[in-house]
Amino acid sequence: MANLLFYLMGLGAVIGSLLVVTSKNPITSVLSLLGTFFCLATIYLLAGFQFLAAAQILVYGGAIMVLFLFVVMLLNLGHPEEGSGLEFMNKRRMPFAFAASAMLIVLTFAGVLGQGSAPGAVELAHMATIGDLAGLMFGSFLLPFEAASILLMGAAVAVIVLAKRERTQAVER
Amino acid sequence: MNPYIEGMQALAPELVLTALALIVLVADLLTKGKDSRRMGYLTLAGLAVVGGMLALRLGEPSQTYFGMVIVDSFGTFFKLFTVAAVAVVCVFILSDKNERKNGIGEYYFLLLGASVGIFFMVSTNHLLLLVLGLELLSLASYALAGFHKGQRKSAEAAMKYVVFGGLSAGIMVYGISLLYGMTGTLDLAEMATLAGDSIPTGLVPQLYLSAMPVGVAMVMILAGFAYKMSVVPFHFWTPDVYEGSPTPVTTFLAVASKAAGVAALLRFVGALFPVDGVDEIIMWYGDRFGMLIAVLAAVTMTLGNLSALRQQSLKRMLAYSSIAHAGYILIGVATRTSEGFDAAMYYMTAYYFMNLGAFGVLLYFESALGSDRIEDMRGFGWKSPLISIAMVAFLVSLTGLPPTIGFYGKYLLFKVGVAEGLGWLVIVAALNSVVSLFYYFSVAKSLFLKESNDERPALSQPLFAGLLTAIGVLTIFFGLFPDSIQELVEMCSLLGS
Amino acid sequence: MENILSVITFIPFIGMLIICCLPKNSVGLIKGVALVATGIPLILATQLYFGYDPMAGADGAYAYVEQIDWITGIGAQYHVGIDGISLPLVWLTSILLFLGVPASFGIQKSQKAYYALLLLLEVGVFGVFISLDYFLFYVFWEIMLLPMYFLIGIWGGPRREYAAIKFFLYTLAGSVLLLIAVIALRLQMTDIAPETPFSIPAMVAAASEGLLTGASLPNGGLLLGMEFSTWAFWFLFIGFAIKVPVFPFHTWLPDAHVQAPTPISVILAGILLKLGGYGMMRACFPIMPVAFYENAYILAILGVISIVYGSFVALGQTDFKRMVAYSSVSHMGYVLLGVGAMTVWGAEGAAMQMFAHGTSSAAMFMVVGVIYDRAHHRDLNGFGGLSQPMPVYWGLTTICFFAGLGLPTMSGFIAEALTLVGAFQSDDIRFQALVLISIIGVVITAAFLLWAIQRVFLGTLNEKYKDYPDMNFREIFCMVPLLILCIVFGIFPNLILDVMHPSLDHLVTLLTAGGN
Repeated sequence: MANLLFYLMGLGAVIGSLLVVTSKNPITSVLSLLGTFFCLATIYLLAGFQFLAAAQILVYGGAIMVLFLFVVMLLNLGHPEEGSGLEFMNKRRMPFAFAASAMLIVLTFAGVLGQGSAPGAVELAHMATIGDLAGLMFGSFLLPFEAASILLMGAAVAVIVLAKRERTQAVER
Repeated sequence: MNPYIEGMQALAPELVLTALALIVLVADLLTKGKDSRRMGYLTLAGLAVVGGMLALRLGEPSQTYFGMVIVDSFGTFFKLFTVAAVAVVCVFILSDKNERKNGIGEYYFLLLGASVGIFFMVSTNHLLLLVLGLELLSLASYALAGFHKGQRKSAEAAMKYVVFGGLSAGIMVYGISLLYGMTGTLDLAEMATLAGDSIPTGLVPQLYLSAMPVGVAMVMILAGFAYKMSVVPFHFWTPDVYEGSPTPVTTFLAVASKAAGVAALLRFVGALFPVDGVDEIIMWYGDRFGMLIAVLAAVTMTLGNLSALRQQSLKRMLAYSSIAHAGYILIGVATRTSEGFDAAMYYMTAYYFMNLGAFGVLLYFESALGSDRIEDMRGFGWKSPLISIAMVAFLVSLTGLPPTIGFYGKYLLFKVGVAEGLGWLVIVAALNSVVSLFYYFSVAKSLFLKESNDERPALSQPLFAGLLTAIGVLTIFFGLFPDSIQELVEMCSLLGS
Repeated sequence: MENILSVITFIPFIGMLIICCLPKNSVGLIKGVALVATGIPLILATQLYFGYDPMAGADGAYAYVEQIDWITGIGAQYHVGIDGISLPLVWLTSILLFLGVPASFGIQKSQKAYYALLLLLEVGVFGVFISLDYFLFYVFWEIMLLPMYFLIGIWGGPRREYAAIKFFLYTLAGSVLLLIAVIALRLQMTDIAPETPFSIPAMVAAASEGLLTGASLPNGGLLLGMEFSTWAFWFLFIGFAIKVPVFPFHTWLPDAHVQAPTPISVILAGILLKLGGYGMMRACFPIMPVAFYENAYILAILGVISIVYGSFVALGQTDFKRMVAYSSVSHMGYVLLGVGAMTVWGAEGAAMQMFAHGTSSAAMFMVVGVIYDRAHHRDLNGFGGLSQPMPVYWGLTTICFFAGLGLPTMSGFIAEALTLVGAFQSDDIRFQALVLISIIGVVITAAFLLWAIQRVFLGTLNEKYKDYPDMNFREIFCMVPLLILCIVFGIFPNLILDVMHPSLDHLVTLLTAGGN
């Protein structure tokens, strides 16, 4: 049963992510992404990562997705015209994209299936409750946690730098 | 003592640097972005403090804090390197005539943030912290590359950098996850020594079990380093990003960011595959890995040099030349010996001087001529002789000719190459130096051999010219008397002597 | 004076620094400093030459040795000294550089930079001739390239940029190969002479004991499938052969010579070509004696090809300077033939040929310079009858060309005769065949030089040229000392052979030992 569900969800995730990049309608893309997130969350649950699954749904499936939808609707990207520069499915580039994806798939199979089981993961499955996670996050992984906060700080400033209008420059000239 | 407090003390430079970044950000807000030069001076002063703290730590024994931060001389060396490079980049920003005077306080914040990222990158064997540091560096760099977002080239540079950075970081993290799944740890030192009893963990048992998946993971992780160092085939972003970014940012990317990639790669290879590995299979595997790096080195230097031949723009030429230099540095990495690593570190130091100098001269010409085309510099050597002569010193050093620091660096790399049986690679590198002479000296040709038809007078920037001349003098001085730097490098050696 | 070699080498450097500090406009002062900075080394070197005890160079010993630690990290030393092979060349260098300064007085463009670079060039050349440490040798070897590049590239003829970079690229291609071989030698010396791993005398000593076989290198010294002794020898040889230049590495030479300004051509032909021959004798053959012994015949063949080919091509030139340039290729071929023969006479001939060619070809380039300054072209067929307006020029040119073609009583004759006789003495019958072939070169050389005299000075005078002034004092002053040297050493060859003999004797002993 669990195996069947895993494969179903895996298939769903793959189809969902394919739809994200192939769909011409941004709304469809966003919704497919949502579906993909749900499939992934289920897989996390199956592996015993309750917290991760919940976070996945809350943060990605909830907050971020709503943000995406807002952006798409506000910017009114409903129907891109042909050749408007958003044409990622360029015929010339397709072979490269396929080659790259095929390589990743082959690497994955070689990497994971090449040896049967992933021993490290077996141990991890036991420690996925929120309490354990908190212990790790504020215990042995305190430093990366803090580093991540600096990272987010930097990212926030970076985004503002890129987004703000060059007002001062306009005034100067 | 409380291990946390102890750890905080050990991380004092990082903390001061982070605090400095925040102070700059807040101070910029308080002054409402007026006269950002003050932020530049503040940054320089703060960097001096951090540099002083780091310098005092040189030579202290290696210790690990929080189970993942290694405070050792090797890391301190690269942190000092970063601080020194960022300081010069700040001077570049302050001297850049094309840069706005106000409202660019974030410039310094981003530089400092990127430096914090580098600090973490170079002082850890823990892949999680490594990735966090790398991402911090990358995120700040994306914004820096697009800092002149009004200019199409700069915006394009940022976009390309983001796409390539995201791709290679993704591949790297994927590889790390594979490795983690197989070995059960993210700590490289642990990975190399762990040998589980019932469940096979650690690298050695995994390799005995099946070498192929580990190889796949290794190659994927290598992609992340290759991207930061701009090693073929992850170099595609380099020319466009270098060209589009503001020149001080290009300097930062070419010098500090690349050094961070080198340091992290050295740690990675040094922890997993030192040449005198304990286990037979590690040695067998390390040989293959070293050979892969050697091949990458040969391809990288050849491609970088051949592409540089065609360039009309000095900035783009230096971008390709930095790809070629990544190839040279890889010679030292490929040997996987202590001497090889030292040679790579020495070469990084040489690279620091000659590239900071070359980019500084580029900035000067951009200010004076409004162009980075080599052809537009015709006859300029006679107008600003001091800077142009310094430029010749940098070019000679980049080519790898005596009596400059670049020659000595190249000598050390060639020596370890020959000593470790990579003679073929050394021949490739030597012939590449000959090729590189042609394009480096196209600049010298333009400066001195051509007649000028440009009536514009030379730009008077005595302080900036003084800095460049000083770097030029050091380029030659350390070429003739390299002992002090070599001693420093040996003291900071990763694998010990 | 104990450190006289360092003084000779670095006085030009001090002169260069002084010139750099002088204002651009005080041309007279700059020229004066240049004269002094080349004049002092000339005086010192002359003193050195005539005060030298030839036996100081016997059995591989060196005179005026200075040895100071330099880069302790790799064991490189500031180790200098001279013997009978290098001393005449040091002297020649000081003479030609000194004469090169007044010969340059005609140059008008950026004189400050010109004289500064000229002095830097002198430092590099002196450095190469006196270095006994391979690292130091290499550093000086490369330092020289830079001023040469700019001297050709800034003050040269119409295609100067091309010629300058071609010269630079060719020489660098050779020297990177040289560097690889040096590194391989250095690595083997780590165990043999840990204190002085770069020392050339130590390498020669180790080589004569058969220690430098590459056995201590990874893969036993195999590189690209070649044995250590093979590749290291050829890398070193090619590095030097490009400089000589030996056929087929000579193609940079005509371009560089033709485009370079006259004084630079003089120095290029007179000294820089000698660096290649000197490098082989000092830092290639004795270090790889076994490989040399095995390949000596091939080297001699290359030498003979250079002799014959160079003279034939010179015969076909219509450009005066190009003709002289190719004559250099021909003349330098004797050096290889002489050393390759591995007889004392052959080696003496080779060493003497370097000196003789240094004076005669330098004078020949001055001859070309004199006429070019007046006519602004160098087409041999465009002249004629110049003996009427310029009798002094005619006379000096004739002497100079006689020196070049090896007329008896000229140093070139002694050198070539010694080389050919020495090669003929060789036990190897094949060398005798080579000597016979190279006679063709001698004949052709005489032919093209005499033909050139005929075309330039005899025949009907072109009206355009009838008002040309004869050589002025400065031009005569630059050329006459060289011709005097040609004649003096032609009549009293022992003045130079005695100096060289003990060192060359030792060299030949080392080389012939390579066969055992």
